[in-house]
Amino acid sequence: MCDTGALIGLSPRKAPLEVTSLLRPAKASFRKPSCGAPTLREIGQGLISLNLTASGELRVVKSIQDVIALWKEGAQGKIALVEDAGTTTLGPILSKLSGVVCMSGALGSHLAIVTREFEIPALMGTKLDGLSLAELDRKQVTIRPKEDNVGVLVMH
Amino acid sequence: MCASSGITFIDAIQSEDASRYGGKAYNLSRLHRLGIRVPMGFCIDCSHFTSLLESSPRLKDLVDSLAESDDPDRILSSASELETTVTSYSLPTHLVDAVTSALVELERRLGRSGVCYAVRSSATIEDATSHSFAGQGRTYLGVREPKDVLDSIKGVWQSLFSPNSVLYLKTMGVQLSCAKMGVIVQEMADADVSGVMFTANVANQNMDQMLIESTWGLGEQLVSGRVVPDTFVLDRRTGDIASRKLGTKETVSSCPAGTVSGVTTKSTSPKMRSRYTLGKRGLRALAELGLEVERGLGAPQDIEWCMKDDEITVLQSRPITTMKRC
Repeated sequence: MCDTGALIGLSPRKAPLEVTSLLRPAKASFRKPSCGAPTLREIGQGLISLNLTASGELRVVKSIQDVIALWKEGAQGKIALVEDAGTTTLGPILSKLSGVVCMSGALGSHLAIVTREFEIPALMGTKLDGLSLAELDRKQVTIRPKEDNVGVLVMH
Repeated sequence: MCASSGITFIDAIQSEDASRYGGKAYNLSRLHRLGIRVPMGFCIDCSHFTSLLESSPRLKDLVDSLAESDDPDRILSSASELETTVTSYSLPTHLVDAVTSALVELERRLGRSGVCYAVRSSATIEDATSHSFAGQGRTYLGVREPKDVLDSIKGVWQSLFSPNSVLYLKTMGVQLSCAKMGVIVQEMADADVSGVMFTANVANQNMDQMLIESTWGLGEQLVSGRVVPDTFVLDRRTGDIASRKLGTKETVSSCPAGTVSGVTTKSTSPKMRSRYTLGKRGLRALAELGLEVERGLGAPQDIEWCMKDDEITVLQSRPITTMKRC
């Protein structure tokens, strides 16, 4: 019988710290901005793989080298943006991320299935409202559920 | 086909064979016994994969190194060397002969020659109740020549040791030495429309709804996330559409006639992009099939399917691994 215990430095199915759980979005973050409150701007929309809200620094990931660099730097609590779900290159850091934004795919894509196993939301088939990926990189963002399996990406 | 050769047709796999042929193959055999249409094919048991690992001390060292390491550079380096080593592995004559005989038998059962095949992974840890291994094992579609089938078998074995697979297993708490790779060789199912069906709504964890996604042609573009498919949410009780969203379905894949292995992908015409891939009748048929599979396998299912001339074929079914909030 094999031992399926935790391996060095890799905790199985670790729930990300910054994910606000349950099937209710964190509404407090989306009140109308008042004096001194951070400005929140809805910048994209897609299908959400799991009805969870997640916030973190967005990083554009284009290659396995980007993944390894993010792993070494510390992917904890970050949100990775990938253009193509087909590569599934995020595997090494999925347990650390708080969420994923993917420009293609949908709820039955392998990436969506695997992110659900790691209990993090993925915004799939995301359409951005005019912003380039470069403009989004390293910005604080939130993924939040809207309605009917749709989720939105909000920039702080 | 004699099971002692390590090759068995899907319809002959029994429950005690599950660990020999992997989760996907076992689930396909269960579907076949339920009377659900699945592509005909055979499975190569994990003992051949084990023989590969035992064929070289260096391979065992590399697997041990991957299993023990937590250093990304070391994992990438070991995985890359493992991949190269497996590529240069010569399949033993008895396996080549057994696969060749099985291909002849498959053509005999199908009643025609020049069959186009799909060669797919069926790892022992695949399609399990706690983790899916989704997208980690490699699939080869539109394989035509016996030589290409044999190369694809090696490619499927290799995929267990890709950096992504290794790190997925580590993160899910599965020891690499526990994972063995079976291989499925099936008739390639032609498709007008393909998709994925979850018999519960996995996104909002609603057990009263089903979720269906579909695209034109083969489903590989959908599951690999390269297209945005149509998405339908159905009421499980009535089969009525609760909501639907038109996908852009940018590309469509098909297996062309001829002798060249592989799948061709082209842009979808604007007219086909603007049309839903499924109407009420197709959705209702899928929903009924989904519930039948769920009843037969005893839990909510994640089902890959395709449809040709209104006939539905199930390509795989695995338990939904993420409904624990219910």
